[in-house]
Amino acid sequence: MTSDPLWERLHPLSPLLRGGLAILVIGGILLANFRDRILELFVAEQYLGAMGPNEGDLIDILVEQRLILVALGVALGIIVIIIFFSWLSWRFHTYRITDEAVEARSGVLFRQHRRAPLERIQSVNLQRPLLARILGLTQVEVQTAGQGGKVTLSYLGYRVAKEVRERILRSVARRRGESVAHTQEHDGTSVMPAVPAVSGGTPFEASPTGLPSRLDERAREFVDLDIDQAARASGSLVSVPIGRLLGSIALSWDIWIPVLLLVASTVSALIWNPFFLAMIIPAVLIAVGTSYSSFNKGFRFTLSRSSDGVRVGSGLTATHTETIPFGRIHAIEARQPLGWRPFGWWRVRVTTAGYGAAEAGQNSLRNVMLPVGHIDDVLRVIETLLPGVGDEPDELESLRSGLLGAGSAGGFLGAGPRAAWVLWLGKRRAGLRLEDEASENATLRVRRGWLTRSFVVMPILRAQSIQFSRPLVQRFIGLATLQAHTVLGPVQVVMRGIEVDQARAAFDTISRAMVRVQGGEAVRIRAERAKRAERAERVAPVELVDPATSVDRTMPLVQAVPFAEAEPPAHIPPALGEQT
Amino acid sequence: MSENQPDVQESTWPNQVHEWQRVSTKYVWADLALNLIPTLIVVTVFVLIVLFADEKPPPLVIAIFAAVTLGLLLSAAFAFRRVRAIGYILREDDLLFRKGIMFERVVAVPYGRLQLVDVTRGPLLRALGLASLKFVTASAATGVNLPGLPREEAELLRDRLVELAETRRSGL
Repeated sequence: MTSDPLWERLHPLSPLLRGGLAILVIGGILLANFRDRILELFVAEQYLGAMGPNEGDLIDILVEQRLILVALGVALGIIVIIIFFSWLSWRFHTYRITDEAVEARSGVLFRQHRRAPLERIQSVNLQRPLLARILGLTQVEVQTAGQGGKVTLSYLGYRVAKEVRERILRSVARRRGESVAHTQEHDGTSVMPAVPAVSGGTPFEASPTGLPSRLDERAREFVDLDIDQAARASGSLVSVPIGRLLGSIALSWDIWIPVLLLVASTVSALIWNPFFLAMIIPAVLIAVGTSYSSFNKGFRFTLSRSSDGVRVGSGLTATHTETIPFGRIHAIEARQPLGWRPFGWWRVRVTTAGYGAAEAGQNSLRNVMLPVGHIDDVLRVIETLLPGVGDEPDELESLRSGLLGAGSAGGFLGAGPRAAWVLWLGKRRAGLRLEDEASENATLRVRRGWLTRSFVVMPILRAQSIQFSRPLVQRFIGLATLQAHTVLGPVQVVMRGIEVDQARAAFDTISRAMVRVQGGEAVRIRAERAKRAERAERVAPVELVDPATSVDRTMPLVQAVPFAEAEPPAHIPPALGEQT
Repeated sequence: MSENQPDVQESTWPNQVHEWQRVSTKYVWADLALNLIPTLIVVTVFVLIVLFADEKPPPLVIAIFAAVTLGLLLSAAFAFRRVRAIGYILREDDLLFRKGIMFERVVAVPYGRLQLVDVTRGPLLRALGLASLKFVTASAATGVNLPGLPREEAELLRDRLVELAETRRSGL
């Protein structure tokens, strides 16, 4: 027996939910064919007589030709085959969490084997579409750094899903060499597997609904906000009141631009041509669509620092909880549209690795870390997302001045003398600063904007490269642009219109800081690997250990989830059509 | 334009110690070819139109053809300067890269950020005994591309870069 944990199965109801669409389609076809029959049952004969017999009715043809039994048999056969294949694919869809990776195998004829190495995991998400939520099921999504490279487990029971997430995150933390003891201390969910439901912090014995315990549990799961117990206790929780959410949607550009379009098209229709009224429909559709998705994303939004990362959850009908392990944030941006300025509201977005091009856009809601909040919420979010930034009072003060300040106030490098040619009215606010230059937590900060204010914080540790550029216009007026490159995401770390010599000096400083901070991390990673390899060798001297991929086998395995039979389906050779 | 007399600062920044490594001068021919072949095509098309059309083409068409040809020729004339502007320096911990005269770009990439190195050789470059080297990071915007290195140099540089990246590997 190897020390690898066993392969586990998904929830038995999952084929039903995944095949939900097929069932709907079949139901639709049946309904269409039976429509006249059903009508006949309820509506008087004379109406139908007036309409005339329906020649193309499938049922009539079948009855006439005495084929009704055959047809029923075929239908039954198809249903049995569908059920059999769903059962088979469920049998063959297994997953496991080892000390190195999260793996999933699926497919009967075409075997697929997906593997997400722990050090490449960017976040672990729990998704609950409405139907799944009612049935008490949850989809677990393990996001890795590669484009579209994710392992999806759909579906697991809600409690099992939470345990699985806990195990993955703990393995990730252990892989990074963080203390495990600390993690378990705060962990109220999987240390006590005897607790039947993870209630959202309310004492469990009270059963105010008075329903039988199964239903009660389901109801609790349905409304569970999925907040870390420790975060709730310490009060380090950021949430969004519903009034503010509605106000923020009403005052955002998402509404203003369609409204302006609407006014323009109505006026045009009245003055010139009613044809312009046709423009109203797309404008209304866009406004309704974007504001509904903003509302859904912001509804019951919570952000908390849990023991193993930052946890963000929200959702009205379908809920979504994303947990990002520490150190996976590549850049943060706080934005303030013009309409929000009187209220002092901001929205926070982040760039993390693993977004596809569609998810990385400005309009995607996947990367929102605060739908709307006051400046104190923004500071708390930045502090939560970037440990080591904003812990001290003076650091908070410097973040505050970055958000609210302008020009060279607060130690920022302001725009050059003729920068108004490229920045227009944004010249006054523009600024760039390398904060905490000497420490490991060095960040590059950029503030810009005029109608929509923006403030960007990028940890130097995560930068990919730094670029100095001089397009023709800026060259003529002695200016330059500095840009730090990050992985694909919504946040652009760029400052235009800096005086050339200052830009060059800043380029030198930033490139030196990058090399120093990232070199420090490389040394730490090497030391960690060497330590792990040494430990593995001491325990199992016979085993061939590749120092680069060695696993620490001294750690006790996380307890197996109580699944009935979890032996791997041994009759399929794993090499067949394997894809990793 | 100040391009014809680079000032002192421009030639020394940001390499206080090192010299810019240039790509092979032979690459100019590839660059020229890429500009002159479209010019030739445009001119041929124009000549054919003039020869076979029944009436004289309208002045707007003539103006467009003239402008396109002039633009391509102008771009070809800058080939030498453009190729000379491409440069790189292997500093101790990062790679410095520059290119462009009209849209100047200087990029610094720490070796630890290297994801992979591509060496490619198209037919044109192969005829000249050259190869292109592409330095890929996790960011699509980095865009460090060294066209027209002598083949052996490109392969040596690739091996050197991979070795440097391996010793300085950092997390994403």
